[in-house]
Amino acid sequence: MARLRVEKISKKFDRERILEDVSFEVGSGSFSTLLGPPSAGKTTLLRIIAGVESPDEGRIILDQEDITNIPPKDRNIALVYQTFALYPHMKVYDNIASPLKAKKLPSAEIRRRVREVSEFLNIHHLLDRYPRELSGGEKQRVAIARALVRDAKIYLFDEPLTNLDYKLREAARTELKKMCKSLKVTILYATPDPIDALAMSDNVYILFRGRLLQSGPPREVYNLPNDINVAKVFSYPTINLIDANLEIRENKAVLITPFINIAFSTHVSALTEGRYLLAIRPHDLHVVFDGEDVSLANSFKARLYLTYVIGSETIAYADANGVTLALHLPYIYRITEPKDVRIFIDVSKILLFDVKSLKRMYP
Amino acid sequence: MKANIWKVATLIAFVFLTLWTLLPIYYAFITAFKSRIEITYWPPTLIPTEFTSHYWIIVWFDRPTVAYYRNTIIAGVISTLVALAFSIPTAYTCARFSFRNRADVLFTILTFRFLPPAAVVLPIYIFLRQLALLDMPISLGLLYGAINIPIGVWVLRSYIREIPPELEESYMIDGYSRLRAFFNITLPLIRPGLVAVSLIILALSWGEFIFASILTTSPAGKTLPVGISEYMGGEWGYEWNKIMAVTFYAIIPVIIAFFIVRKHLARGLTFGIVR
Repeated sequence: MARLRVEKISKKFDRERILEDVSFEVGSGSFSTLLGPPSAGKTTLLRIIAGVESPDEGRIILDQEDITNIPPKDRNIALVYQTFALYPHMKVYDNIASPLKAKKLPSAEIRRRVREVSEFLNIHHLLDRYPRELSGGEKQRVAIARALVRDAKIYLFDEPLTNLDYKLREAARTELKKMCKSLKVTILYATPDPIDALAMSDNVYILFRGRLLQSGPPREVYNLPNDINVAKVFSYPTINLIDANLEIRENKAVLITPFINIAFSTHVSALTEGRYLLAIRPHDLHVVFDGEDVSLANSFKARLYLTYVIGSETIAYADANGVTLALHLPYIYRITEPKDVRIFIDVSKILLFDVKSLKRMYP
Repeated sequence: MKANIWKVATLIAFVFLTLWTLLPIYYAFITAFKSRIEITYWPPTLIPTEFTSHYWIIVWFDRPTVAYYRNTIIAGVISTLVALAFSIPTAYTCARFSFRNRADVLFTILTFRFLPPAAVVLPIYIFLRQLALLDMPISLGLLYGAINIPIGVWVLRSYIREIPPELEESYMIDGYSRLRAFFNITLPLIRPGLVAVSLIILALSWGEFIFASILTTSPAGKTLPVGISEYMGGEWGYEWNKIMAVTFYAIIPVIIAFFIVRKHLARGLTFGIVR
């Protein structure tokens, strides 16, 4: 277990900026998630921390020691690659034993630890196989075993679930979460999937186009994204963004959108009049069913035109006076043809962003 | 119907190619059994009227064929080792590291191979004479090795590029140096490429004529291709039956070598074509 501090890391490839002034700290024994869309710089950052890439500027500090210029073999950091990077000409056993052999441990000790970790990950029956004889899920577990067999100071995971198919990913996520909780090691986990971040991590770092936009406990970052890109990255399905105008009418703030005018209580008086981007998560929009109060406050008419069911939930798309809205309904709901409905918007969940700086202005 | 026409056309093409390749070998083979009289027959006989094994035996004794063999093997093995020793690190560097003018460096290396041997053979002759290295199969081996480095670099570079760098990186993260990663990960994985390149260079050195004929002088210093040419136009005229017998002896080791490693080769030569 160790603390990791990333200090003002910058990296360019050719002329392209991959990382720009990224700083954060991973606490000892914590599970931290590096969340960002593809090509945000996650992999480069992990490679710099592991030492197979060197930063143009900045330092990597591990337990008070500056390791920026130490070769990867002396860093004692484990990294699980997205592509698993299993050595194709070595059997599973030798793949897992590789870091132990590097340390020249006694062979009895190597055998014991490989057996332990492979039983823990339920791959002990595969030790005599070659990587090409394994399924995707098995390869992933071998790659994780090769990391966990070590006494590394910190374990880096680069999208280990991305190369698995959908069903396997769900199972692997649960398994990984259970495993990490029981291990009590320091983990930094890179992923583009907000669900990974919400499900597993103590801390989340949002990386976007090479910049660290926000960090903190996942619930906090999820509820109060500082930047519109954080809201976009950290939401599934993608958060709804609506052009809105704020007007002050008789000392009350009113938010004008193409499909609804929302009266705000007084505490938003800090906001000035003008254009904003209104953000509302798909699960904070609710379909109002027949029989319920049609004159319900903060509801508006919309035309549902597409639904699809995922498991026991539904993603729906609606058209509200020309604006497309995504809804995430916690139940199964199917339509065969477009349907006019009322949609209730949970005003307490509304976020307002500045149109220019893209920073959060409300709440 | 259309598919059938293609099938027939393919079959004819294969038959033609097979004959194109095998007929000269067949003709060489049977010519070595012909008598001195019969090799001059017109039209030539496709099956000897009289088989004699005399020339198959005599070629080992009327000239230093054993020495030719030894010299050819020495030159071939040394050239392969030299070419590999220089082209593996060069190929690795060009495949894994980016540096200024990398493409130019690679192309320049390739142009060395375009050089016609006749253009450089004389300076090399003088050079070797000054160093007292003439007439030695080792010098030929070093020379062939140097000439074939570009082939090694270009073929091996494409092999190394097929190996994901993540494998070496992962191995370094496991706790090994880059050098160990190279020897334990990259080298075993490009083995088909190493086999293919070795065989190509061995075959090229085996059959090389111009350098060998000018840089060797004594009968015991010559290689097989030069030795074969010794049967041409001497006091006995063109002794085609002996030429063919020695030629056959000369190509047998190459055929055996290709046969032994044919599996690697089939994969090696098509590697990277289909991904």
